[in-house]
Amino acid sequence: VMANALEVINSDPKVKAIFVNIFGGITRGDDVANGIVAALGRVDIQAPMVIRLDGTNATEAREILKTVESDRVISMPTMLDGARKAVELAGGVVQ
Amino acid sequence: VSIFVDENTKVVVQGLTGGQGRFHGLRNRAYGTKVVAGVRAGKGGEDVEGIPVFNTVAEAKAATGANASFVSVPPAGAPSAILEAAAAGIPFVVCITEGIPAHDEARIFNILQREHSGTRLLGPNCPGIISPGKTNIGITAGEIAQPGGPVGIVSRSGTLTYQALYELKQLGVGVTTCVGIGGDPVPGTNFIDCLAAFEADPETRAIMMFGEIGGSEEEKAAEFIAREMSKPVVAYIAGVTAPPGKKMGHAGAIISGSKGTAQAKMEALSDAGAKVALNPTEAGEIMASIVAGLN
Repeated sequence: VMANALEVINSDPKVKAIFVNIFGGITRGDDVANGIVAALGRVDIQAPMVIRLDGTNATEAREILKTVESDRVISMPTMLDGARKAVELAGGVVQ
Repeated sequence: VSIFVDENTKVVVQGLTGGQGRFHGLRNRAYGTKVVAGVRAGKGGEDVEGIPVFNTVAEAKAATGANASFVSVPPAGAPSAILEAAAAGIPFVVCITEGIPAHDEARIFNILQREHSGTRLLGPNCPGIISPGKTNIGITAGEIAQPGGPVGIVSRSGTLTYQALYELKQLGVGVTTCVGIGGDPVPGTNFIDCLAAFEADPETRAIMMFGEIGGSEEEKAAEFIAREMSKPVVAYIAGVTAPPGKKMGHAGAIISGSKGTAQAKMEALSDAGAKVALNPTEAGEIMASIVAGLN
């Protein structure tokens, strides 16, 4: 699901930054993280990605994400930090 | 004290043998919730990691004294599972199932009112209820909640329910009970039910209310706050930038014409005396300062 969603977003040339913001309840963070890893392996993601994962299985998720983090795949600790970073990467003005 | 549930609540999980039921039922037990039974027709006599499974809710209740149910059953079976729990005399039923048709929800709502007025339904399509340190029924990650008080939380969105708990925990503010009422058009328990229960609970001294676009439940809650609430309320409404006519994630989160906008809800709540925050983090900060001012 996650990998497919990223492919859809990636196909839109207007997207300048991708913000993945998940606070999982029934959604498990490790599933999301594995989806991101799968998407990165499958397609060339055009825009930089900011990821904030919390909630169910967040610890496992952060471990999985460490394997793909770079200057274009960035983990942020909170929703506001993540949103600000994504705006910055998109060339917008952070309020 | 907490509202609706406490550390003595005994839970039967309907659908305990399914994937989600097993994962979250066992996670609730690990949190400290008294998960006393599971129900799955045809699997009576089995067990899930030591939790006995029964064929019916009535059998589970008779054998274990269960007084709450956690319904983790797919949409096709969830309505009858809820009604089975009610018919067995379970007073509190949490249903997390997403995708139950609105028509079925309305039917269940009416049957419960008419024939099972002793049963309160929370949900469907909700994260459940957590009284931190006491009990957790549903799909909330318990570690994000700070036990104690004095804040009660009520929220429509699951994720924002977690965000509310998380923000308060970062600021060291405890929660008496956190109720996720769910994002469907016909919730079994609404904002006013929770606001009234928090108003009556002596340990809850301030309330955080997270709403979202669609419907008029927030406006009704605002009227109730103005009329009945003596305790401070901090509110946040999601969906300020939502385009009209587009369903935003939840079945009930849709702006119809000029009705159901975030702006209208924020205005109504503000007029009612609630402090309206522009984002969840700000809601947490406002609440922390209110709590600091309580004596």
